[in-house]
Amino acid sequence: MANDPSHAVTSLLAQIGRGDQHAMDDLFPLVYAELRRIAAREMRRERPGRTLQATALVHEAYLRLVKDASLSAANRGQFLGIAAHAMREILIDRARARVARKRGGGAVRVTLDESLSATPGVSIDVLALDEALQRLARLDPRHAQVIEMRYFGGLSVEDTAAALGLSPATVKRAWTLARAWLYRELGGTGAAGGDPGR
Amino acid sequence: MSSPDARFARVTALFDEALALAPADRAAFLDRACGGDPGLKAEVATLLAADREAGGFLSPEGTGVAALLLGDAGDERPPGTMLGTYRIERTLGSGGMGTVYLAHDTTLGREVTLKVLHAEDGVDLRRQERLRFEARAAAGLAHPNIATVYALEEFDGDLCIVSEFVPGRTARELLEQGPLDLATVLRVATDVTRALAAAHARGILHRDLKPENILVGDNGVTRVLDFGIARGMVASLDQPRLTATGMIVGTPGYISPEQLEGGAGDGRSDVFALGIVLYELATGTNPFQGRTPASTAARILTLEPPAPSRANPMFPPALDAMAARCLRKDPAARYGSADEVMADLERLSATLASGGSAALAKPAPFVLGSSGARSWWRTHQRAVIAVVALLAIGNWWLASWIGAPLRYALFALVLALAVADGTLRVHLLFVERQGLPALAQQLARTRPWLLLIELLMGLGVAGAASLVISSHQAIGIAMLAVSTGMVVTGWAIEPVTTQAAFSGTDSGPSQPRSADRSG
Repeated sequence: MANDPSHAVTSLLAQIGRGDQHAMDDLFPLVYAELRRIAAREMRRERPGRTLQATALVHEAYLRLVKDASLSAANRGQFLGIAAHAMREILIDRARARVARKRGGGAVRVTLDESLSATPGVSIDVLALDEALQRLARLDPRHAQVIEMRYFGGLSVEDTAAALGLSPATVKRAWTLARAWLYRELGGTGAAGGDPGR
Repeated sequence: MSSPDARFARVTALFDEALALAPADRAAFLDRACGGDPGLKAEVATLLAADREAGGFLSPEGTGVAALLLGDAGDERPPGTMLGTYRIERTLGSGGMGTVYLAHDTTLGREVTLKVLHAEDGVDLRRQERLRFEARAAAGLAHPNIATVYALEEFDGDLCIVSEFVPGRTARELLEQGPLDLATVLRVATDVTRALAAAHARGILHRDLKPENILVGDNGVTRVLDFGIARGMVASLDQPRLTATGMIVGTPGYISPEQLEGGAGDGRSDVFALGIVLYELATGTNPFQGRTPASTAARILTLEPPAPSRANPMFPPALDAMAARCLRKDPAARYGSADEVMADLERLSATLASGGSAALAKPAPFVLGSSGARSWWRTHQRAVIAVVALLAIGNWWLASWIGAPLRYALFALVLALAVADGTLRVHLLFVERQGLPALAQQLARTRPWLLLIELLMGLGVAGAASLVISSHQAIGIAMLAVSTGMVVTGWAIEPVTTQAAFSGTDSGPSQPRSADRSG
């Protein structure tokens, strides 16, 4: 990695394309570090009234790390999928660190507060969401991946479909189900009467 | 783990099929499809219900916030990371300006505080130079109440200020438990003011004084952190564009009106911030805190905060006057320097040490909680205790003329109530005499009980009196009158006395919220 990291990234992606799991393990930290770097730089700019979009971060990481324009759509999808996973990890690490820093408080929860959120009325406990997502992955890993890519990575339906090798229609259906499942799981539904899922 | 759970796969398939149908047809479809499996049916039905409600849940736009949360962690360094010769132990805090770590200086073998300042992207050499200059000046400040700056380093393009590590808690952390007691407020304020006076004497302003920057050491000595750093970061406050940035970077709740209006500020701007800190330490609230930076700024420019003693009656009126003078909108009307604040603080501490809080109340420009009203309140408490005792004794007489079972019941009831009432009131007198900050809370909490006890007691005595009034007319009427008087006193007179004595609202000087009316 002494020279341009984009060569390393491109060749790692090619190895992943050939089914090399170790290459995935090598690529992840590169993407993770790049995302943190970009996010930190964006935050320092401190532009009032501007929020960082996950999708912008992920795509910028892609542009910075992957300079090879000839990359296949499948490889691009792989990269974006890894980036979405890295975003989730960073966010969860951050939420844990925040909870840990609040001395003597095991009960502190980090929420994406509605006052900051683009969608009013929604407040999401990041750590609870992560735990629910892990339970969902045990039932069906594909549904959990769709949420990870769309929500944490900000990927479009098309990019998610390319990353997972699915059709956009399948991604949409999986998204709808997984979202309803998580919503119920996180206690968001008023129709909690019959609850055989738990 | 790579294959989906079989039952979940069925749920998924049914959910997709049901969703494709018109809502009205779904129930019938589920009845048919999950005939013999009510659990499966309920599972799909609850998911369909959740889907109807989930609306904007997990909307990808929401991840803008996710990234915000992630952003301020973006460059946080994990424990064990080496920055030059410093090994990071843990993160102490982070904010708009940078991240603060506890680190170990491996060369000198001591604990230090590392403040890594976010370097602006794109090279703003002038600003970096200014920051360096300010930090150098701050490093020249050797004072027991100012955290000593050891070094200014640069790692990966980030400027980093190395300063002494003092075990303790910031005033912000202390405030999480509510307002501080008067002695602590005076001690912390005195130390902070000394630090400001020493820095101002060398031409260095703090510019970002706030509870987060005040460290109350475990050894009891308070140190002010981050002298002069704000200037480099907030850059030239005289440029409007950067003032706007400064508001976001810094702490809008502690900026003086003249700085908000674009002025550079001087020592008196620090005095303004000191006034807010003083106010906040004593009441637990920043009087200017609004919901948004803009509303906070507007309040700083226009709001005349209520006297701190309105929010916390344990705060002597003399401190009200001090806080008010620090918080004048016009810098010329404030204390001219930290030295002047210091003189008043010392006078106050001396008075407090010699004469107690009653003496402090004398020069009050406000009518709040005057010593006369307080002593009247004490007299009132003692009088009620005497009346209660009198009623208990009188009731003993009355009961002796009443038939067997009722006499014991009445006697026991009134005696028990009298003991409870007397105990509560003696307790209040004690809390007030000791100047305990819990008085407001205690007054509010005991009042309903006192009213209830006195009402029951009045009824008991009046009942006994009416039973004997035909045979012992004089004492019966007297007891009836005294018990009625006691009840009326409790309901009508006592609230007024309490209010006059503690200048609080209706049932006593509770609610520190009153400092923050419009929210």
